[in-house]
Amino acid sequence: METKPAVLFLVDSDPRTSHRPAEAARLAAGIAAWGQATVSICFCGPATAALSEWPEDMIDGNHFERHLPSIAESSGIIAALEVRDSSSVAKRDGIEHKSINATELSELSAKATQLLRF
Amino acid sequence: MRGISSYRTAGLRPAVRSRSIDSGLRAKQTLPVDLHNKKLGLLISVAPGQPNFDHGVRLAETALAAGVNVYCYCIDDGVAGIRDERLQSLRGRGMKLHVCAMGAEKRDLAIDDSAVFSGLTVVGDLIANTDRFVSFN
Repeated sequence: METKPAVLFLVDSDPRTSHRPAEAARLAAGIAAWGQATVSICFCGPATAALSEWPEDMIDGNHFERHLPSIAESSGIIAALEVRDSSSVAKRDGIEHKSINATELSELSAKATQLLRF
Repeated sequence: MRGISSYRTAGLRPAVRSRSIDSGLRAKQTLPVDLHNKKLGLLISVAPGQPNFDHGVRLAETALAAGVNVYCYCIDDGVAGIRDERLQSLRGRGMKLHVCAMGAEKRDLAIDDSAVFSGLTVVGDLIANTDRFVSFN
C-alpha cells in the first residue's frame, strides 16, 4: 500500500511583523484539504504568537482561525515548540494545538517526507 | 537566510559508489543516473532578487538540462517572479510554470499567459506525484 507524503511546515517568522506565518497556514490547509498528503504545522519562537494572541494584532491574522482547524480535521498536527521540557495539550483563543519539546519536534521532522520552512 | 527545504534532494545528484576492482583496491566510481522523464516539483515563495529565488531557477535549469520534467509553482512573494526572463526562458524549454492565483490577485498581478494561474490543489499534486519536491522559502 502506498503511503501519503508527510509534509511538515516549520514556522518561525513573527506573525506580528511578517505575513509569512499566515501564508504558511493557508498553504498548509490548502494542501491538507485535498487529502493527498498528511500535513502538520509547528510554530516556533515568535511564531507561537499566532496561536496565543489576538488575530487583529497579526498580519493576515484571520488566516490562523480560518485555516488551522482544517489541518487538525485532516489528521494533521498543530504544534507549538515550547522551551520547557514537557508535553501538554493547550487551547488558546479557539485554536487547539499540542505543545511539544525539541525531542518531539525531532521525531515529527524525522517522519516528514517534506519540510517547508516559513 | 531561509533554507532550501527538502529531505529528498540527494537523488538528483549522480550516485557515487565504491566498487571493488581486481587488485583488491577500492576506487570511487561515478555511475550515471538516468534522470530522463523523472519529475521534479519546485515551490518558490521568495521574491526575485532573493538568493533562494536564484537557487530555485538554477535547479530548474540543471534539471531541465538533464531531461527532467520540471514543475514550478510560485507562491507568496514568488508570484512576482513569473515574468522573470529566466523563468520564461525555462518555460519555453518545457518547464511547467504555475502561479498561485490568490497570491497574484492579492498583488494585483494581471492574469495573462505567462503562467498557469492555479489553486493550492496543484501544490498537493506536485508533492504527491513528483519524484522529488523541493521548496525555496
